[in-house]
Amino acid sequence: MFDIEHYFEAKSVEEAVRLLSEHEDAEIICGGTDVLVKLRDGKGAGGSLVSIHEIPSLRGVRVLPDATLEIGPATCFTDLTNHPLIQKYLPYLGEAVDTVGGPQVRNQGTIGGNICNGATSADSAATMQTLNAVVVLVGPGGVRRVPVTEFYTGPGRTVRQHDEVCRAFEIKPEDYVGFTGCYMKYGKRAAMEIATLGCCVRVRLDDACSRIEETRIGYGVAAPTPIRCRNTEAALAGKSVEDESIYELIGTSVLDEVNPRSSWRASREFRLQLISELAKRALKEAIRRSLNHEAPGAAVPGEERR
Amino acid sequence: MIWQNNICEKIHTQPKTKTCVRPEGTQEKPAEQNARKLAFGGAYIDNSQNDGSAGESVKYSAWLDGAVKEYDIHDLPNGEAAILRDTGVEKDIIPGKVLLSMKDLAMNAFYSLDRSEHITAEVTNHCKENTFASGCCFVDLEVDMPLGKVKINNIINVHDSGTLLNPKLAEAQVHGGMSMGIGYALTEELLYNEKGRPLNANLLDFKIPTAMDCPDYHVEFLEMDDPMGPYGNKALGEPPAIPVAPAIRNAILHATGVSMKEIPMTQQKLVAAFKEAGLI
Ligand SMILES: Cc1cc2nc3c(=O)[nH]c(=O)nc-3n(C[C@H](O)[C@H](O)[C@H](O)COP(=O)(O)OP(=O)(O)OC[C@H]3O[C@@H](n4cnc5c(N)ncnc54)[C@H](O)[C@@H]3O)c2cc1C
Repeated sequence: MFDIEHYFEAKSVEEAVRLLSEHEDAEIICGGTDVLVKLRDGKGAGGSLVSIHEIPSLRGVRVLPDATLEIGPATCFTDLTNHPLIQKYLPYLGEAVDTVGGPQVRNQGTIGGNICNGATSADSAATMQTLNAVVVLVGPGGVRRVPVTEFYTGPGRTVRQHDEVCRAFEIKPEDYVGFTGCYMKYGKRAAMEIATLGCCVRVRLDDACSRIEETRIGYGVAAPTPIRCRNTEAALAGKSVEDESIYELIGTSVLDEVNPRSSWRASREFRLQLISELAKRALKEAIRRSLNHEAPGAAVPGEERR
Repeated sequence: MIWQNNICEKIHTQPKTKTCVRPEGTQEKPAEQNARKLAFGGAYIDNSQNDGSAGESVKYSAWLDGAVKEYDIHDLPNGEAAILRDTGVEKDIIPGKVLLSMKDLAMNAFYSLDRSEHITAEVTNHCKENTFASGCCFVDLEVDMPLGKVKINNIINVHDSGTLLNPKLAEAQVHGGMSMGIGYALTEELLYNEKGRPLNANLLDFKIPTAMDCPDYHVEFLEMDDPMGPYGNKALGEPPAIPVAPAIRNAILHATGVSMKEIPMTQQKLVAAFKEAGLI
């Protein structure tokens, strides 16, 4: 069924990098839920695959010494959603990836594949944007760290070189401590759906839980790549959570920062309506969660082993 | 023509039914269409009425008890019946004698190692004075206007399909129809580009509702005996799919005051209609 020249099972990230350098036609495969679908359509047929699926160090979630959360790219969506560290510190990310396809796809698809495929519709993309996630890339020349906000270069394209493997996503404490969030996926049906639009809004309130200190707004499918709406984020800073006009503000202001396209799947006008409406609702839910004291503190190094 | 009724009984058709069991490779002849029934395989052979003159003759091979016998089939001029006449390949045919039950014939034909052949039967019922089956659908739904989302809270189909032959199967048939009706109403749409190529000829982009989109289906039946139906039954093939989309459309109208005039009532079309109506 699949037209593959060679299939390599890398035992380590270094071996994967070497195999990719040696085989120009080789592509990384992790869960394969994108790669194999493409191959079956004849795209990339006759090429080779380097699997990173069996490299144990690429799986799971850890706390680094500075309380940074490190997410292994080969962690499947189901494991991510159920991971205690994710549930405690990044529940909205767990919820976001729980909207992917159906249970089978979530058991197989990984967050690494979801970000590295460069898709604007990826369900983890909007949330990862708001997290300022750092993409750790390992190549023949060593390691480099790219903020996910600078990772995308166009639809389906990223700064990742052919022989670079994503080894981890890092989320620094200043990007999650004190934040609550909410991801809203919009599709035509409740499952087995590529997002017509994805919106993640996260807030950090002051100690009294009365004012917004920081807002982060991320979108998928609102532009050719996942994006942030930094002007709107800035405009919301210092606003009272009781001020009902913040919803009007976010719903209107984001429209100046997005650029959705019309396609037969959805018109630009319809997407603009969703962009505005979903932001209001996600902001409301994020604030509700903060008022409900759901915002986490900093993770403790080694916490995952206890 | 004893064999007519007997064969009918064996394959469970009604007296008005035209039954034709035709060997592979033969074409249906106009004379055959005329005849009410033809029997192949000689469950019964009737030679007594053969005058050898009327109708068109068709050669049939029947495989009985391991031997091939050839028969001619003649239609009587009045189109009442067909007669199998032994062509003399084997002479010991006794008119009216049961050679083989339909069951044994079918088993033999199917499992024969050297002459395996499917016996197929076509059954049609040209019913000219049938009773209408009727049914209806009630929907309780919520419309999220700014997002154009319709959530079905409760849905029930009620059908009069006469006497139900298999109530469980009938209920499942209605479930299927209701699910089709929901897709028909809200999401299922085949789109084409300007060259006429379908854009969404796959199960990702052609939106059939998933289990997560479907509420529990409630079904009730009114079992009113129908004297015209073969077993007091009426149709239940299409009816379950028919009232659902109109019911959803009317419920949306009831909830919002907006009357949609085309299906599927997709989220995008709903949002556009609500905007036009000044609702959002
Ligand atoms: C039925 C179905 C439904 C789906 N529904 C959704 C959905 O609702 N939402 C959604 O977002 N996606 C959906 N997808 C797409 C897909 O499941 C996701 O994009 C998934 O995250 C891909 O992960 P993977 O491990 O299977 O990737 P793979 O197919 O293995 O790889 C995807 C791409 O990423 C690259 N890659 C993978 N891992 C790495 C790494 N560590 N370093 C560098 N490059 C890497 C590969 O080379 C490839 O280009 C669906 C797919 C299917 C088949």
